[in-house]
Amino acid sequence: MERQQRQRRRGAARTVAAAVMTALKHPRVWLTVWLVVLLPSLLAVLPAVASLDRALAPHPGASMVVEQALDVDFVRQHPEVQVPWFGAAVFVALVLLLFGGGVLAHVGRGTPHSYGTLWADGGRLLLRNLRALLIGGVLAWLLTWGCGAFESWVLNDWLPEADPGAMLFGIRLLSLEVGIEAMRYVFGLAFLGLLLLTKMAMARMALFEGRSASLAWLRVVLWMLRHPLRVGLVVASFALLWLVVGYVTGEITVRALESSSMIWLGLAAGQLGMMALAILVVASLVAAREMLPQPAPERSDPLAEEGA
Amino acid sequence: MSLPFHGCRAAGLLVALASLAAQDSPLRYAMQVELLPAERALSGRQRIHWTNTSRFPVQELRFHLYLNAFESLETTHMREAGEEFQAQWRASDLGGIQVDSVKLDDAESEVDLTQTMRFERPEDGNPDDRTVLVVELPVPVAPGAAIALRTAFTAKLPKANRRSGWVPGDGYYCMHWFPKLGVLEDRGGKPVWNCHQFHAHTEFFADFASYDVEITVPESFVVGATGSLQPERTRRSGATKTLAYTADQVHDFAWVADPDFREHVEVFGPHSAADDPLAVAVAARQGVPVSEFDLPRTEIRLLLRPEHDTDEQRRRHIEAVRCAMMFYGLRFGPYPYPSITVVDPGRDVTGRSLGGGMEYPTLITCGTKLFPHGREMRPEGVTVHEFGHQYWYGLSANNEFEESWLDEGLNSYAEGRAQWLWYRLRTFPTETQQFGLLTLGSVAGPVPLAQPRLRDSVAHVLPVDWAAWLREVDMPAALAPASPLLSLLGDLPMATYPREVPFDDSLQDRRRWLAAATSDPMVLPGWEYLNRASYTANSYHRPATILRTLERLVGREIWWAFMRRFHMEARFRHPTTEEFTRMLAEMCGREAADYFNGAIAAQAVLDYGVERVEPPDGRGPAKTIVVRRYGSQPARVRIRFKFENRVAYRETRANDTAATWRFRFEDPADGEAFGRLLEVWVDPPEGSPDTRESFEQGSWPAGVYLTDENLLNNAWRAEPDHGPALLRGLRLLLQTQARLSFAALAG
Repeated sequence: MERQQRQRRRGAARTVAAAVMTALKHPRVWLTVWLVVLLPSLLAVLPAVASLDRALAPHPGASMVVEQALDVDFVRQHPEVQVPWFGAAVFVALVLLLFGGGVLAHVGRGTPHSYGTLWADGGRLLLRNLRALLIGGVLAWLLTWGCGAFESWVLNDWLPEADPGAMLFGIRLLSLEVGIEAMRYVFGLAFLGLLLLTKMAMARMALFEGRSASLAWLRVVLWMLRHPLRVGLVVASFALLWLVVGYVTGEITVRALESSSMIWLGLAAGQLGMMALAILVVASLVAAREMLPQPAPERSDPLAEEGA
Repeated sequence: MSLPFHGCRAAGLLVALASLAAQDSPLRYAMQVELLPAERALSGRQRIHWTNTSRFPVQELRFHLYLNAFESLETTHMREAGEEFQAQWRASDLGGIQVDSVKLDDAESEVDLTQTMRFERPEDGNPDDRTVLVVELPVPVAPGAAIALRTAFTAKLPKANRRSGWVPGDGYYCMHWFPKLGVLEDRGGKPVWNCHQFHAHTEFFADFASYDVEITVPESFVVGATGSLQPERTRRSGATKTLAYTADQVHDFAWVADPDFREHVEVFGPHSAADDPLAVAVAARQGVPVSEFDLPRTEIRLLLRPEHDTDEQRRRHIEAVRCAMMFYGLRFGPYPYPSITVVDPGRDVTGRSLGGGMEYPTLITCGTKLFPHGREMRPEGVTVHEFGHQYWYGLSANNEFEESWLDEGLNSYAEGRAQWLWYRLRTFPTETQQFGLLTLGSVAGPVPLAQPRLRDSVAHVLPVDWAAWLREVDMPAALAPASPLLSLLGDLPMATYPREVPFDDSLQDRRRWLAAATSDPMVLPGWEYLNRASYTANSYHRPATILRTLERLVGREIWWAFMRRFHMEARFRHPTTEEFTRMLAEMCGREAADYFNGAIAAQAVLDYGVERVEPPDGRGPAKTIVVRRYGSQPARVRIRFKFENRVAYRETRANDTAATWRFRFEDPADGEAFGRLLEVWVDPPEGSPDTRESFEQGSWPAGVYLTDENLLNNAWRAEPDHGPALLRGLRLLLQTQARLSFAALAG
C-alpha cells in the first residue's frame, strides 16, 4: 500500500525520470532492444548500400553530400532498390512484444530473474499481450478515424470560411492556423497515449495475472479517465525526450557524416543515439507499469507464484 | 521628381511609348465594376473599342468568360482537373459570370446584340462548358474599321481555388472577371478567333489593350490593381469609394481588394547597367551603348496579410522583387511600367494558399507562410518567378494555351538563374523539410531511395483478394492520425536526414522533368498532354533544363545577346516557338538549333555513357575506351580521359549518329607514356566542384548536357571510391533504426 501511495504521489516528470533510471540500470535489457532494432535494420539496408556502391563508386562526381543529380538518377535507374522497413518494423514489434512481457513482469520490480527469465515470461505472456495489442489496434483505428472525422468537421463544416490568419490579441502564435496545427499535435499525443495505455493493459495483466485483455483495457481506461493529465504529461515527456535524443544525436552524427574522415565517429554517435532510443523504449514499459495501482504485497510476485 | 540621367532617359522613353500606345491601341476597355461583398459578387459594365487589324472582314466576336469554369462540376475545367479537385468544392463555393446585355454602340444608335449570344465549345463540345461566348455582328467589320460594344454583366465570385474569387476573411481576388476578347488570327488565309475554352491545364492568351477601369468597393478596403491609380478621379460616396486605374500596353486587368491588407511601398532603381560585366559585354556585342541597358525607377507596392506583416517578411518580399527586377532588367530589357504590385494571397483555414502564385500585368500574387525559414526560398522563389512573368507572358505575350513553354519554361529558367546569382553566395539556400508549420532548415529529406509503400510490402505476400483490398487501404493512415508530431518522432529528421544539400533550381527542374517520364513532345496545346504531370514537366521543367543546356552549349555572351534580342523583339507581340528556333539558329548557330529541335521532340532521349574500358584496370601500354550513345538524340559531347601522366580530350560530332565510339590510347615508343588510365568522364564539368559557386559555371556534375537522362553512366574510374555509398548507407541505417525504434514502442 505504501508503494502504491508513493506511486500515486509521484508526478509525471518523476515517473518518467524514475523509469529512465530503472531502464539505465538494466543494460542487458536496453542493449537487447537496440540489437533487435539494429539487426533487421542492417538486413534491410545492406542490399541497398551494395547497389549504391556499384553505381556510385566508379563515378568521380559522387561526393560526400547527397547529389541531387546522381542520387536522383540512381532512384530512376534502380526502382527495385528499396529499404523494406515495414517488414522489419513488424518483426521488431513482434519480437519486442515477446521481450516486453518479461520486462513488464520483472525489470525494476525487485523480483529475482535472469536474462532467460525475461524471454521465458515474455513468452508466457505473449498471447495475452497480443490480444491487448489487437485491442489497441482497433482503438488506434477508431482514434484515427475519429481524428480524421473531427478534423474534417472543423475544416469543412465549422470553419470553412474562417480566416486562418485571425489572431487573438494580434499575436501570431495565437492565430487560427497555429490552433489547427496544435490540434494535429494533440492527435499525435493521443496516439502516443494509446500506445502507453496498451502497455499499461499488458502491465496490468502481468501484475495481476489477469488473462482478459478486455478487462485489463477497461480498467486501464477507467484509470486513465481519472488521471488524464498525468497520462498526457508522461506521454509528452517521453515525446520530448525522444526529440531531444534526435536533436543531440543529429548535431553530432550528421555533422560527422559530412566529412569522410569522421564517418566512423558519425556511426558511433548515431548508434549511441539509437541506444538512447532503446532506453526510452524500455523506460516507457517501466513507466506504464509503475503508473498502475500496484498489487498487494503478497501478490506482487505472481510469476513466482505461478512457478510454484 | 529629379532622376539621375540614365534612369530619366529610360523612364521618359517609356512614358512616351505608353501614351502613344494608349491613343493608337486597336483594343480599348473602359469598365466600371462594383464589388458587392454581401453577395460576393461583381456588377459591371464595359465599353470595348475594337479595331479589326486583320486582312479580313469579321462577322462575329468571341469572348472568354473564364469565371464560368467554376459554375458547376461539369465544366471542362472541372472535369479535366479530376475528382480530387472537384471534391474541394461545396455548392456555395461555385460561381460564374453572366452577360446581361451586349449592344453595338454606334455613334447614332445602339443595336442590341444580346439575342445573338451563344456559347461555343471548340475543343470538346461539352454542353456544360460556357467559357467561350460568341456574339454575332449585324454586319461584318471591314479590315481597318472599328466598332464599340457595350456590355453589362454580373459575376458571382467562386471561392478562389484557382486564382479567381473570394478568400476566407473578406478578401476578393478579381482575376479573369470580365468578358474578354479572344485573339483574331490569320490561319491559312482565314480569320480565326483564338479563343479556347478554359481548360484545367492551360492559362491565357489575349491581345494588348489599354484599360480604363473604375472600381467601387467599401471604403475600408485596400485595393491593388493592374496599372496606375488616378488619384484625381477617386470618388467617395457614403460607405463606398470608387478608384480609377489606367493601364496601357497590357493584355489583362486584375485587381484585389481586402480590408486587412497591410500596404508597404518601396522603390527600385534607377540602376546603371555599367556595373554588370555581362551587360557591358552584350551591349558591346550588339553595338549599342551600355546605358541603353540602364534600369528605370519602379515603385514596388507590397500588400501583405496581417499575419505575415513582419519586418522579415517585408524585407524578403522586397528583396526578391529587387533581385528579379535587376536580373530580368539587365538580361532581357528594362521593366517598362511605372509600378509593380505584389500581393500576399489569401489562404484557406488549413493555411493552403488560395489562388497561389500567379501573374497579371503589373500585379502578381506570390505566397508565403507563417514562419518562413531563413534558408529556404520561400517567399523568394515564387516572388521572383511571378515577377519574371512580367517579361515572359506580360511583355512577351505568347499563346499560353498552345505554347506554354514560351512563358513558363523561359521564366523558370530565368528565375533559377536570377536566384542563383542573387542568393547563392549570401544565404546559400538549402533544402528544407516541412513538418506541419515547423520547417527544419538544412534538412534535405530522407536519403532519396524509392520508399516502399507499406501496403505494397504486405500485399505481395497475401492472397490475391487480400492484396487487392490492401491496396485500397492506406494502412499507416488508417492506424495513426496525420500529425506532424508522429512524423517527427518516426523519422527523427534532425538525426537521420542529410544536411546542407544546396537548393538548386537546375537540378530541381531536371529531377521533376525526368520524374514525369513524359513521352510527349515539349510543345503541345495544354489539353493535349497526357496528364497534368506531363503538362507541368513540358511547360516548366523540361524547357528550363534545355535552356540551361543551351546556355552552356553556346557560351554566355552569345546566349544572353540572343535572349535579350528575342525578348525585345517579342515585346508587345505574340512570339512563337518557330520564331524562337529561327532566331536561335541565326544568332547561336545551327548546332544549337539542332540540339533544341532534337530535345523538344516526342520521346527524345539524350544519354551518353562509358560502355567499357579495356583493360578493365586501366593499365598497360594500350587502352581502349568504348563510349556509347544510349539515347536517340545525337550531340557534340566532350570526353575527358585522365591518365597518370596527362589529360586528353576527345569529342563526338554533333551530327554523328553512330552508336559507339572507340578511343584508343597507345603509349608512344619515344615519348612520355600515358600511364595508367585513372578516369573517363563523358561531358565532364568544366572545373572542379569548387567552381559550383560560380554563377556562370553552372551545376555539377554535368558539363553541358543537363538533359542527359542518366548521368550515372557518364564516368568510370580505375579506383572505386566506396565513401559515398558508405555515407548514404549509414544515413539509411540511422533512418531505418529510427523508424524501427518508433515501431518498437508498439511492442
